[in-house]
Formats: sequence, C-alpha cells, structure tokens
Amino acid sequence: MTNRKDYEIPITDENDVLQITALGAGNEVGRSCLVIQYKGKIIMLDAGVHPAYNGLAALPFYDEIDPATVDVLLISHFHLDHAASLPYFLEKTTFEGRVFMTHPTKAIYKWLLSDFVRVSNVALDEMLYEEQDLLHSYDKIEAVDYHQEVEVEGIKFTSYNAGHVLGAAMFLIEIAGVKANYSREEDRHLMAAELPPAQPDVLITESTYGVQNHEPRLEKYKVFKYHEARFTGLVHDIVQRGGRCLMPVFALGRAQELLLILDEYWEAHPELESVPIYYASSLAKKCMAVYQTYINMMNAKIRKQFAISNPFVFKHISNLKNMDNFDDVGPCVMMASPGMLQSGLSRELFERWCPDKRNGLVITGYCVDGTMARHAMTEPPEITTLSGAKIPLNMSVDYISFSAHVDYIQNSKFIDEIKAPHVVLVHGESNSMARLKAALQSKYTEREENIKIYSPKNCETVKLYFRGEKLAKAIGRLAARYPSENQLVSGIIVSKDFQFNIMDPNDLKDFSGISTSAIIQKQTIAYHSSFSLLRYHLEQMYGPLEETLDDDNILDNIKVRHISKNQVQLEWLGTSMNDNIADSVLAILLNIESSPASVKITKHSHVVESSNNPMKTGDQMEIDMETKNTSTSLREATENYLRKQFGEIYSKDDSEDEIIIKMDDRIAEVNLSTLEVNTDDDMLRNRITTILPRITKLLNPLEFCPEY
Amino acid sequence: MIVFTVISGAKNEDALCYLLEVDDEVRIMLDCGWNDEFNVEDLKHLRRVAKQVDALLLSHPDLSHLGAYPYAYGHFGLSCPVYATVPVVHMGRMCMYDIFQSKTNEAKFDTFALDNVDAAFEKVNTLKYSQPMCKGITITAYAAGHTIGGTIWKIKKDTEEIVYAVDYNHKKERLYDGTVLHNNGVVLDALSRPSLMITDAYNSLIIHPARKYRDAALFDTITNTMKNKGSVLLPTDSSARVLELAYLLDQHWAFYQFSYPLILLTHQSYRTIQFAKSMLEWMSDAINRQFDSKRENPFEFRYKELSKYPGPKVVLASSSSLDTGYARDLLLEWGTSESNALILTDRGSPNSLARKLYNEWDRLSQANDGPVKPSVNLNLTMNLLIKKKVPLEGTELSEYKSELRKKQEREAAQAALIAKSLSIIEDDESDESESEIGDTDIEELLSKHFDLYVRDATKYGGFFKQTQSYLMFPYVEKRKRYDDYGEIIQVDQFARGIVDENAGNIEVNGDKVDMSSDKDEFDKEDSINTFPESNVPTKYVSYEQEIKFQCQMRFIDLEGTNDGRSLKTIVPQVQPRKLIVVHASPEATNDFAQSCLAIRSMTRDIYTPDVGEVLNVSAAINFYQVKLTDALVSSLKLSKLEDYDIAFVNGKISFPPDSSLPVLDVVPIEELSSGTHNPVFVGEVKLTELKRVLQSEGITAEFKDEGVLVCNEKVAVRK
Repeated sequence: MTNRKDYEIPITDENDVLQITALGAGNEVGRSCLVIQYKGKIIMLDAGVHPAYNGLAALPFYDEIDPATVDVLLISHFHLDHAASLPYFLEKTTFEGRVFMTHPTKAIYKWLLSDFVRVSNVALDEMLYEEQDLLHSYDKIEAVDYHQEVEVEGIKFTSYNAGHVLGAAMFLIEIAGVKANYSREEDRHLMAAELPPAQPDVLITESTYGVQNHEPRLEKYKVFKYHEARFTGLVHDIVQRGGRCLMPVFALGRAQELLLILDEYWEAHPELESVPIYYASSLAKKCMAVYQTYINMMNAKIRKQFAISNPFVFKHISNLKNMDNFDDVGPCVMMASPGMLQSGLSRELFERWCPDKRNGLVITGYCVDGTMARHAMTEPPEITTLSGAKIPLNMSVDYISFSAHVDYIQNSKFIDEIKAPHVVLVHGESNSMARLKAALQSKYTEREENIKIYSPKNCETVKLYFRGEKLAKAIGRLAARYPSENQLVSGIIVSKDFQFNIMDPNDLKDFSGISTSAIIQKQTIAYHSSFSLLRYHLEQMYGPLEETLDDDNILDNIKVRHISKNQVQLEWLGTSMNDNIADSVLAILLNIESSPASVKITKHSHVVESSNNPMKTGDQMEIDMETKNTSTSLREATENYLRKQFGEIYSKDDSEDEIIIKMDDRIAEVNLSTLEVNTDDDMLRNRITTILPRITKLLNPLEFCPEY
Repeated sequence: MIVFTVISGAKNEDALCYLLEVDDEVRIMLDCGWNDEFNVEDLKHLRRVAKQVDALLLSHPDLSHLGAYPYAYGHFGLSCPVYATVPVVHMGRMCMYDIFQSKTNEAKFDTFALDNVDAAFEKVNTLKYSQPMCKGITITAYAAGHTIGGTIWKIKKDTEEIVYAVDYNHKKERLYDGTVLHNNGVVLDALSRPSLMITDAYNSLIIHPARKYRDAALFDTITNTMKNKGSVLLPTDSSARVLELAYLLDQHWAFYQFSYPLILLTHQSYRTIQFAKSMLEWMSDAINRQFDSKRENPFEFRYKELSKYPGPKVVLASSSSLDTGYARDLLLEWGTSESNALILTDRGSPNSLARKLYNEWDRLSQANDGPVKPSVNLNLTMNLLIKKKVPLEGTELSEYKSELRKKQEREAAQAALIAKSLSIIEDDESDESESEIGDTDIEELLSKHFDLYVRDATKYGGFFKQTQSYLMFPYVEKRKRYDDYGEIIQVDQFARGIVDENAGNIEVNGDKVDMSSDKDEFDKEDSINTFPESNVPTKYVSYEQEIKFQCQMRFIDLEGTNDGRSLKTIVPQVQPRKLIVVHASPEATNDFAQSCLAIRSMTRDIYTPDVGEVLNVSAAINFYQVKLTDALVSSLKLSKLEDYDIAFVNGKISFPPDSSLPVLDVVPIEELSSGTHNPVFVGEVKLTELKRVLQSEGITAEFKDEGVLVCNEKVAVRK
C-alpha cells in the first residue's frame, strides 16, 4: 500500500502508443503490407507481392515482425500486390491468427493465385509456395460481408465497400475506442464506395497517383462518363480504321467494368456487330461466375438491372481460350492480360501488332515503372521484343486513366470527408507520394486544420500516441443510486475486450457470467464440557450470541453446533476475517477442554486468546480487551504507539486530547480526537498523518464483514 | 422499461406478430405475419397499433412472418422503417407474389395488390448479419438458419438486451449453416445472457428423428412411388424452405441419375431461383466452398426438356397449407389415385387442409414405431370447396365480348378526354408513386382485361394528382409536338401499357418453370393446365365437391427448425434473465415453460402470454458511466479468468467541471475504510485440478466415495 503513491503519476504506457509499420508499399507501389499495433493487439493489413520482383525478394519485409504475434490479418482485395503472399504467410510462417476477406475476394483469390503460381517463371526452389499451400491457406480464410461487424478478442472491424474491384473492402478497425480506417477509395461504376459512418482517428490511404490530375474538374460521375465516352470513342475509331485494338488488362477487376461498357456500347451501335470483342483469359472466364453471383455487392444500378437480366451475361463478347482459336483477320477488340505487357498473351499480341499504324494500344490501368506498358506510353520509335529483336512501334498508343486508383482530387476529397486527425499514406511511388503529402499539408495549413500526414518508408514505424479515455460502467445494485461527489465506490471491476464494468460481487454471475464460489469450512473437535459453558465463554469474549432453532450458536459468521455429546462442530465461510475468528473460537474451545477448571477465571483465557490472535501485536499485550474501549484506554494505547514510533511524547496541559510529540528537535502537536497535526516540519507531519489512521484502525474493534 | 404485447401468435400456432415497447418511446414490431386465408378480421389487433409502430423487424421470408406487412403498409399506414436481411426482402417479395397469384387464380382477390407488395418491400432497409443498426437503440441481425436470410434479432438499449429468436435451427443443413445462437454447443457471446429472450415453443412436444432417417424416408417414399408409376407431391412454401428441399432433391437426382422429372412449381419459381443464385453469401460455408472451388452454383439445376411430363414425376409445389396454389390443384388431381403419394414436410398452419391431413396420418400411423413413421394409405372423404378460374364459354363469352366492346368505346372516349387534359399537366405535376393507384383499379384491370388503350389512360391518370379543379376545367389546349413525320408519339406511354398487359397476363396464369430454370411452359395437356389461355376471358367459379383421398401419404419433418430436445437444451444455455414463450399450442407452451422451470439455474421469470396480453418485462438494471483515471487503472491488480480480467476496485467519485461524466479516482490512503472486502472466489472449481495442485505441494490427495477429495487422510474436500 505504501508504494501506491508511485502509481499516481500517469505513466506513458507503451500500450497507449499506436504503431503503424509499413512492411511493404511504404513509398513504393506493390507488396502492400501494413502492421498496426495497439494495446498489445497486432493487426496486419494485406499481404501482397511486388510485381517487379520474383521469389522471396517480392515479399514484404516479414522479418520485421514475429508472425505468431499477429492476431488478425485483413485482406482488402484480390489483386496480387495485396493478396499474393498470403499463402506464404499462412503456410510458411508461424502465423496463427485469423484471416478475413470478403466473399468475392475469397472466391476469386484461389483462382487468381493458382494462375499466379502457374505463370510465375521462377526456378522451383525460388517458388514462394505451391498449389498445395494455396489450397491449405484457402481453408483458413474466413469470409465476411460488407457492414458486418466482426469482433476478435477486442479487435472490432467492419468492412465497407471500397469501389476499386468486386469485393474490395476498406476496413474500419477499432481497438479500445481508437478507430483506424484502411482504405483504397474509389467510386466508379461497378461498385460504389462508401464513407464509413464513424470518424476514424487514423486514416491509412493509398497515394498511387500523387497529385496527378489532368482531367477536367468535374463531378465524380461526370468524370466517369467523360472517361467512358473517350474510351468508347477511341475504340470505335480504331476498329473503324480497320485496326485491331489491344487492351492490356489485369485478368480481373477493371476488365469486367470495361466489358460492361463495351457490351453496352456494341448493343447501342449495331454497325459494330461484325467486329468481335475477345476477352483472352481463361482465368477471367472462371471468375465471371463470381461476378454473376455477387450482384448484391455492386451498385444500385446493376442490382436493378439484375432484376431483369444478369448484366454479366454478355452478348457481344467472346472468350478466347488460346491463340490457336484466334483468327487474326481484320479489325477486332482484344482484351488480354497481363496488364503491363510484361510477358504472356498481351505482350505477344503487342509485338505482333505494333508495326501496323492502323492498330491501336489502349492502356487503361496503372503501369509500374520499368514495364513495357510504361515504356510504350513514352511512344518510342522502336521497342525491343522478348526475343531481343527491335521492331518499330507504329500503332497508336493511348492512355485513359481508367485505373481504379484514385487521383488527387478524389483522394483529397476523401481525406477531407473522413476528417481523420492522422493520415498515413502508403502505396505510392516516393516522388508522387511526397508531392501528395506536400499538397495536402499546405492545404491543411492554409485551412489551419490540425491534420498530420505521414508517409513511412518500408520498415519505418509511425508512432501515434492515443490516450483513450477509459470508461467504465457501474451496473447492478452498485449503481442503484447515481453517485455523489466523494462517494466511495468499491466493487469488482471486470474487463473484457477493453470494456470495463464495475459491479457488486453478488451481481458477478448475472452480468458477466463468471461463476463465483465460496469455501465453507467445517471443523469437528472433541468437547466434553457442557454447551452452556462454551456459550458463556464465547459470550464473554464476543458479546451476545445469536441462537438458532436447532440449538446452534451463531457468532456473526461462525456456527458452533453441538452435534453430539462429545463433539462440537464449527462451520464458517472462508474469508480471512472469519478464519481468524474461527481460530479464536477454536482456541477458546481447546482452552475449556484442556482446563475445565478455568471456568470462572475468564480473564486468563482472554489474555491467552489475544496472544493467539495474529492480528494483535506484542505491543498490545497490555491492552485489556475486557474493558470497554473507552477513550482513556484508547488514548493510552495511542500514546504508547506514538512513543514507540517517535520517542518522547507529552500530554499538553491545557487540553485533554492534545499531545506533543518531540522528535529530535522537531515538535508536533497532535489532537487525538480530531487527528489534527500541527507542526512546522512537513516530514514529521507526513509521518504522523500516515501513522495515526493506522493506529486508530488497529485499536478499534474488528469490523465483521457482512455475510453474503 | 420494456413492455411486450402479443398481437398474434401466442398460446396458438397463428402467424407471428408482437410489439415491443422500449422506454415508452420506441415501439418495435417483431414480425408481421398472416396466413393464406387473408382474413382481414385476423388483423384487428394489428390495425389498432400499426400507426404507432416505429420500426418493424422481419425475421423470415414466409407468410407467417411477413404476410401481413404489405397489407398493413397499404391499409393500416404501417409506414415505419422496416429492417430485414437482403434475402428476406427478395424472397419475401417472391412469397407475396406467389400467394397473390395463387389467390387470383381461384377467386377474386382484392385484399391487397401487387403494387402494395412492391411499394412495401421497396421501403425495407436491408441489413447484413451482425451489422449493428444504431439509432439510440441498436438492432442487430444474427443468422437463424431455417430459411435464407433467417434472422435472430437482438435489440439493445443501454443494459436491456432483448433477443427475439423464433424458428431458428441449430443444425447444419445443406444450404444453411445452423444458427449462430448455438454453434458447436456454444452460445454466441453477443447473444448470451440477454435481459429478455422471446422465443417460440412450436416444436416443444416434438422430437425429430436424425436427419439421415428423415432423408432416407423421403427418398424411400419417392422411389417406391415412382416404381409404382405414381407421382409424388411435396407441398412447400414458395420462397423459404423450398430452396433447401429443391437442393436436397436435386442433389439426390444428380447422384442417382434419376430420369424422373423433378418439377418446381410455384408462380415465381424462375425468379426465386435467380435470386437464390445471387445470394450465395447467405448460405452455408460448404455451398460457398463448392462455388469457390468448382464454380458450381447450387441452383444451376440440371434438368432440362421438361416441357412435357408424362408418367411419374416429383413436384415441389406451393403452398404448404394445401389451401391454395398449385399444390392444392395437384392434390385434388392426384389425391384420388392410390399410386400417387403426398409427402408433407411440415405440419401446416392450424385449420389448413395440410394440418387435417397430417392429423389423419398421425392417427393412422400411430401404431407404428421406428424413427420415421411410415406412409399410410389415406382413405378419407372430404367435402372441399373448390375454387377455380374457368374460361368463359358459349353465350357467356359472347355476352362478355359485346359488353367489353361497349365498355371499351365508352371508356376510350372518356379516357381520351382525361388523357388530353392530363398530358398538359404532365410537365408541371410531379410524379407520384404507383401505389397511389387504387387497389380495385388494378384488380379490375387484372381480372377484366381492358383494352390496352383504355388501361393505359386510366393508369396514366394515376400518376398525377387529380384534383377536382382540373376535372372542372378539362378544356385546356393540348400542346402537340411535331417532327417530319407528324405528331410525336410518346413511345414509352404505349410501351408501358404493353409491358404491363403482358406482365399481368403472365402473372395471372402463373410462371410455370421447371427446375432446369429454362422457361418451358407446361404442356397444355398436362394435368396442371386447368388454366385458361392468357387472353381468354375468364370467370371464377366455386363449388363444393366430395373428394376421396386415396393416395399414399407420409409426413417427414423437413421444416428445418429446432425440435423439443434442442429447444430445451439451447434456451437454458442462453441463460436469459427473463423469457417469453410464444407461437406454440397451449400444450407445447406449457410443456416448454415447465421444463424450463425444472432447471435450477434457469430464471423464474418465464411468461406465457395470451394474445392481446400486455407484459411489463423491464429488467430495470441500474447503471451509470464513470471515467477511470490512469492512476486508478494502473493501481488495479487484474487477474485473468478465461476471457476476463478482474480485480477489486476501490474508488472515489468526483465531478470535475470539464466533464459530463463522474470520474472514479483512487481513494486517498487516509480515507480507506478500515474493513477489507471479502474475498470472492471466481471461476469453476474443479476438484481434479485441486488434487493436482495439492499433490504437487506434497500433500496426498485422493478421491474417496463420490466427489470427496481426502487430503492427508485428514481433510475432506467436497463440492
């Protein structure tokens, strides 16, 4: 109890610091992976790979953390740079937590990754995982629906529609009242992104496009319409001039939206009917069923359309299984993966078609530095084929920002709307991220809003200090009346998942389901004297006894029962106080038993008794328990104590209650009835004020705790 | 302050509808059911309260849970926010469509109109499972099993937690995972120890045989009947349980490669299946896994070429009460033949034909034992009122036609006038919802087949406010627009008329779709086809007929809810502090209440209200919030117990000026009261554990007799 003072200074608790560490996607695009630590809980967000690297080098920096400590892993969407290292993390590390993603993400995840396993052209020993690991990992994933609130050991999270691709989610995570939002925000066609209802304390958001923003400032929807018109116009031009239109796309995601647009456009333009649209991806075909099924996760327009017919059953688009079936005559529209022309089908077609100036390349997605698509966008006079030959680039190259990533206006608008005091930027190349950061910072300084922006590099940790208010709920009989100033509250505090409830011990079972138990102790001893003798002794010691019907003696909490002629049974509820009393009763009993002659000499027994009682110290031996606790005896005892503590004490002459303590050369006046201390010396006053209540506590009669 | 009122469905098996009043301010209606008789008299209690309701929660997409909602919405002004899961909305709407069409097929039915249904379901706010819906009161849906989107509701206000759980199923089925309420023997944390639980005891007296026996019995009966060249009828509902049944049978068919046709016959079967296909995320993990790995949607039913169905077949038809719909038509057709079989999968609502047949079967099969009682040969003669819509013939037809022609001319003239005046107002007046159209109008339209033009005009009129003043001034010059070809025709005006006309006809005649989900129409020769061609004028007839049922009949409980045994296990485990038992026969209610009272740890507050009874079920738990200071929190000596951290706390309340909440701070040492608190022993005591500890301390401890641990041969420890 004495060191309690130490606690009163608030400690900057390590637990109050929220740490955000980028294991990947810190000042880069790709291998998204973030770790949030707060109050001993660890959440990992996304587990991607870097598209520009192979093998282990493509992984996020998992070495920075102990995978076994991660409680929850949330995957935002199925793109490789967000989900592809998940099988590795689940199967090849010590991770034992739970993994969540939305239903469509889970449905597509498996197919996309098994494709990834197949096409990644690395040596066998460099493979991150095999098909088998993928299957295993699949079984560990739990699927959630948008808006569904999930709670895992105090971590609460809810996923919201993030736009981007089917099933893409932003997560609102709440630990002990602190909310963090992990999002990639975009609002286009297929899925309408939403704003989470609660204002988070931290916003973690992407910055892929930095401040790039060359489109006219229009309403979101109009921006989209504008893109759409440009896009369809472009495609129309290319096929009309007899060219082949190549669109490198990721197998899934934006491609489905482009297909919807093209299908609609072809429907509206019968003259184009002879021009085939191909979608060259067997993977996409398999995943179309997912799009056809999770209609309820898309926007209202599509849901409405679904009531009539499924919009994802296309009328003008044919799937191309392999190039052998492709009859390359005349104009056509071809969507092929991969999206950045790194290799594979899209690269093959690109090399085949690029010398003809009638043909056109339409790039609709983001292209990472160093990929062929990025290179082609600079419109070089010639390109190098995969086989090393150089061929001229004559086909038209167009770029339409159809990418599902956000541009500056949308991003800053989103950040504005979310209004989080801390913004962490990830998933952006360091230049554009720095520019975005600067732009946002100057904007908020101008507006004098206190919004802090962070852009951690990989393995860098952002530390945010939150002192969440700790609220507790007093319930049950403890809260029968609303408390008043200085009222003492004492009960049991039960905390679960960072929630505190204070309750009376008796309510414990009702409100928390914790079962309580009690120890009932029974002791039977031989006793040969009469019961009334025992009674007399006990009454001498403890005052009047209560008698129950079946001839028991109840001594507050102790039942003394004469069970047979030669036996007495004690029964009591085990608490530290009761145990002591029971001990003393036992001592009395044994005393009577050992010297029946002592019946009349009660005083002796009591002296012995008090020496047996561990509550009393040797100093008290002289105190006669028989005498009533009059103020004189109390005062003497107090004086005795003080004398032991401080040395000399004197009674003050003019007042009965006041005494003077003299210790060394310091003097204190103490009023024993009010416990007031009057001295010039602080040290002495402190000592006396600490000791006085204890003396009083010791000398006053024991209080029995009420039975419950 | 919680007040619970029974509007319908307590101490009987009527449709469910209850009212919950929270703190005198919010009235939440729990379900809003009806039966397929649609007797408005049943809703007299509902009528009284409908306008005061602040929120309505729908838990299952079937008649007995939401049947009265469209009617109450249209007629009683029940226009409060409604909450339900996505499937309940979609399937609920299908259910109402289906029953509406069944009813219009046999008699003039104008209790409510399809527009009511549409408008009512448009209003529903959809929720996902465990998506908290917060408006002072938090409402959360939890999976109940039983039907797609089936819901257990939790209503929370401060410390009052009310769980409304009816028709839940803890067992895993093919399509649905069991309820989250009780999963693997564990009660979901969020739902345990509510201050009030409202549950049904519908099956309290019934024990289900194991599922494998029931499935075996089902396939047994089907196979046997087929072999005897008979057909099997499985009456079912149109939107809820039908999915599970259809999937079950389809799996079986696919596995055994049966060649017998399997037909799903409800008015909305095609759309029902389409919706089911898009709601996989609401179904079981197993179904989702199958979809994820094989891309097989469970509702890609594989049976095609069913345009003609000669010979034995299995038909799933609505409705389960056998009082209306295809199921009744088929029963009348097939029931008289000994080779056919009728399999009831639920007991049907009280007083329905299905219930009567069930009782008969129950009586006949009582002598037998075994897990599932066998089928019996019905030999029952019943007088049934048969209602039909028949095409007009002979003189009636010609009379009708001439009448119609006259009417058309009359109406056309009138409508032209109205249309003229209206099309001018068109630009200024704002649209009104279609629900404005009187029900009788639609009903007339549906049944009497107006000429396209007439109907168009009438309907068009419904969009706009028709104030008296306009009727008095019809002579407003119509603005006409011209292009190179003359006056511009408003195409959509005509188009809508056509579409509506078609839609109306198809619906009137039923959307008959087989399990292959392609829209093959039934063959006209087929027994089903007692319905007229779309454009043939019809009339309703009804007559009494004595029907002699001679078919095989068997009851196999596939209704997918808890049974008495599970009910009596689950509810005590939930540990409600108060319990209200509803929706069960008086015997079952009693039985359940008694068996709950027999459990010692169960609350004594078990209520079995009657219809109309008002119960005050406040738990009246006091509470207030306090802020904990850091000093207090760091002074706590928390000890861990299961998921909890617990400690004794001694604190002092203060009210700092800058905070609305009282603050609990550490008690200064001087003020600590001299008494210490009593120790509280928490957690379950296990003697075996104690024995282990004692032994490691060097004390011999052995069990003697029953549960007595004797230590060092001196001390006995007993629980």
